[in-house]
Amino acid sequence: MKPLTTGKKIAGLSEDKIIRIATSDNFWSMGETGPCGPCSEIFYDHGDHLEGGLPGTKNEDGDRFIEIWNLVFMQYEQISKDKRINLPKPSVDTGMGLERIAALLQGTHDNYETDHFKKIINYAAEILKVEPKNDNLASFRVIADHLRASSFLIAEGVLPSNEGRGYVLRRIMRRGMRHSHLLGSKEPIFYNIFKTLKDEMKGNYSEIERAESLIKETLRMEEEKFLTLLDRGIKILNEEITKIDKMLPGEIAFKLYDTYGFPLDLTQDILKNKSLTIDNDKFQSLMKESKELAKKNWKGSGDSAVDDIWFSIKDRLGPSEFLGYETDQAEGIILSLLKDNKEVNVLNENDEGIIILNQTPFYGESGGQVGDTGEIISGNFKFEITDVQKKLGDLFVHYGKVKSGSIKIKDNVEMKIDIDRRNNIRAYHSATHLLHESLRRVLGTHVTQKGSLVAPDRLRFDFSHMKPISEQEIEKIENHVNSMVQKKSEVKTRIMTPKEAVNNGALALFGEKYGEEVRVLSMGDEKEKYFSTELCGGTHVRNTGDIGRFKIISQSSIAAGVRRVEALRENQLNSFLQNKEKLSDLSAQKDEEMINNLSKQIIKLGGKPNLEDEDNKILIKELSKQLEQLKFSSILENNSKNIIQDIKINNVSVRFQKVRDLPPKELRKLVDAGKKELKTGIIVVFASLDDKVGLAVGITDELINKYDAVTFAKTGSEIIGGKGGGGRKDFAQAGGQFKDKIDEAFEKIKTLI
Amino acid sequence: MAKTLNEIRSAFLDYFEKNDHKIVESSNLVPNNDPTLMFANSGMVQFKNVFTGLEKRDYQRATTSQKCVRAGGKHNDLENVGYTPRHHTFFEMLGNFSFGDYFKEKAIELAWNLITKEFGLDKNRLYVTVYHNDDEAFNYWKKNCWVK
Repeated sequence: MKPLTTGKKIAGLSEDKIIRIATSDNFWSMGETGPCGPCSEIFYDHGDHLEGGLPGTKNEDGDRFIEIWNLVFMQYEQISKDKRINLPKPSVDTGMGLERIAALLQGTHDNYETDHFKKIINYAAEILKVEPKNDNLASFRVIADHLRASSFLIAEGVLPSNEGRGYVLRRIMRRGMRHSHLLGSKEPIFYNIFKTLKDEMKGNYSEIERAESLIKETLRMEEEKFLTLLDRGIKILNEEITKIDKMLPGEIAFKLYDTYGFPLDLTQDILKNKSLTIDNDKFQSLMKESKELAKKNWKGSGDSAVDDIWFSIKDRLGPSEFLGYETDQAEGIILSLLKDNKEVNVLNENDEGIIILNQTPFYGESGGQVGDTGEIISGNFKFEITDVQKKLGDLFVHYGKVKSGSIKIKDNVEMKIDIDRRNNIRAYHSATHLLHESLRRVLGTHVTQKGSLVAPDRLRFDFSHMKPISEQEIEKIENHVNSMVQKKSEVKTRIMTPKEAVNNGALALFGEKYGEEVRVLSMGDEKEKYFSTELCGGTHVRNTGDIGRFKIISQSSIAAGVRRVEALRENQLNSFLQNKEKLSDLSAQKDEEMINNLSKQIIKLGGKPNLEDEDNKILIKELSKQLEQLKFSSILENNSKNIIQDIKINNVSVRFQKVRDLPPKELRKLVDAGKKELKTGIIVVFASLDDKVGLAVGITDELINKYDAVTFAKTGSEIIGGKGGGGRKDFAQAGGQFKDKIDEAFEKIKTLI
Repeated sequence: MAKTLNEIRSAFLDYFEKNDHKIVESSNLVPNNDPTLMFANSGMVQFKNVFTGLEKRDYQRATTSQKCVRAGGKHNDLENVGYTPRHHTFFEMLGNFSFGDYFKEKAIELAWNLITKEFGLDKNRLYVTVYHNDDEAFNYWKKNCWVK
């Protein structure tokens, strides 16, 4: 839409300064429905040495008149497409870009010329040993900007990955690294430049300092990965270049970009130097497809959509009081009952529903700790609670089913949690804290919680760490935890302000919001000091001795840079170890059977099983290999299964070989053997197994100027019912399904010679 | 001497605090109340439910410096960064908010005083736009600003 100016110049200087705009630039709305209203924007004239026109004119996008502040007046609510009402209490929302106003107040129109950006850019220049000049300015800007975005995202726990937010972060990081590469850098630099950013920002954003080691480690790892990837991309590209005349197929450029993360502009650079081009249309269309796919897959990963109903209930009832730190049972008054997501007055026998009370001893799922279970009773009324969740932070909702009787609003009830289950949960939660600190001690302080499950029968802990944990490390981690358990020391809970907590060395989740007061859990006795101190709203044991024996039972990688460990304690650990013994007996028995079986088959084919290795798994592998080799040679020795025909066509030696009951993957060996025997010639081999036919064509080096194995294989495969095939001039392979057409296929290939 | 970026941020927040606004910390870049949004991209994101009336806070005036990222989803400035003096993927958005408290007149007065008095911008270099039929805003600007 073209902006439309209807500015009237009636009288006075001021009216020239106020411009009426009729476009959506000056009308803001939250969405298709919701609050909306007119905006008023303030512009600054940087002076006539710059190009650009007033807002509303054709040339408004220039550098001269710059918007500095947008004031939004929310005065309406859009109810539906055609209905808009006045808001009873209109609101104001304004936005002014800090970097832009800073530039203005520092006498420049370039945000990157402000003190803040200059510091980052100058430090980058120092590390890169490159002077910022007009022709490389863009790269320095990119490095400074992308360092800021990456660092702040990582500080909140976003890590580079191939989807969602992690993918956006990776793109930002790699675009930045691409520009440092352009400036000639051959090694990671971002994690070094970070220091300036930290010093600049830590005063206002403490997360940037708290997450320092995670940020630096993530930057360095990603840069190292990216540099290897650049090397690999260049190698693949050089190989592809030998196969083309003028234009690189769009598919290859896209594959380099998409699969190998090799930037398109770099591909273009390299091709340009060799006077080659890219099929850009194809690349763009593949790019578009992939973007659409990504959009379809993006479903958001914030909390689930906030249910309106909880807002209205919370507004009416206020927060529920949680009593569960001190007590396992309590009395309360029913404030709200829900059935099928609607508020009701009564719940009857067999109804499944939700109960909200004024107070509760039941823990609502949060911080990884699962909700409590138990029962609510009153007279003959009994409600079995299967889960408790917290809505909007502090509204506790109890899910379950009425076992007997009925209940109505305002009734007095008794609440009892399942104490055994809760005690197990307490032990697993405390164990999680000891584990977290032990991981940091053994693996490094870059370890940050990425996810946690505290259940009555196990714990799971996800954290940032880039490589597998070695057995020795696991042992050290377990020893840390178990020694803290054995010291049987008191667990201490204190309430303090977030600032005090951090000063006490409490581990807090980066970027997580905490209220005015926080609970700080300290546990583990280490030279009169606490081993672990963490902010936590969960429930814990009173003494570390209650945790019992602790063991990590598995580790895995769940996303790039995120590892998961699972651990068990005491009761569950004992039964796990017993089961494991049984299982390993069973698997040893199975291995024995397998070895016997393989040995018999080898003997049957006239071989002698090699039983030297002591490890059963390795033995099985070795015997399987031996058996395969025997099968292969016994087929080749069998004249009815292996038919070879050597002929001459137009003075060229040609070998035609058909083998029955041979897996097509063995074809290459036969072609290589044929080449050796013929010295110069063409080898065509068919192998069939069940209803599969494989075809391989080999051409010795002297003949590849005249013949192409790929064409031969394609021609053959069309007849045996296959789909083309592929390879190089000297060796090509194809598949098919018609055994009885092998001779026909060979005849056809002959015509090509 | 010109103020640093950090000093300018503080000056903005302090000014609104003096004018009875609560300084509220920036919310996370990863929004926790909006699954449709990839990253916080403006100051109002953390107040969305307050504006629609779903959520209540114990203050009616607030001011923030909000961390924003525009590099994915609807707002995406990534490819422009580096080639212009003003594009960023990460930036801070300063803002003041009234939740059913003051409206146009006060908002314009607060803004005008900050930039002309506190920040000392030359008012001859300032221009404003209003929505074409928003006579209220037009008149507040006309009555209270340049002429005084």
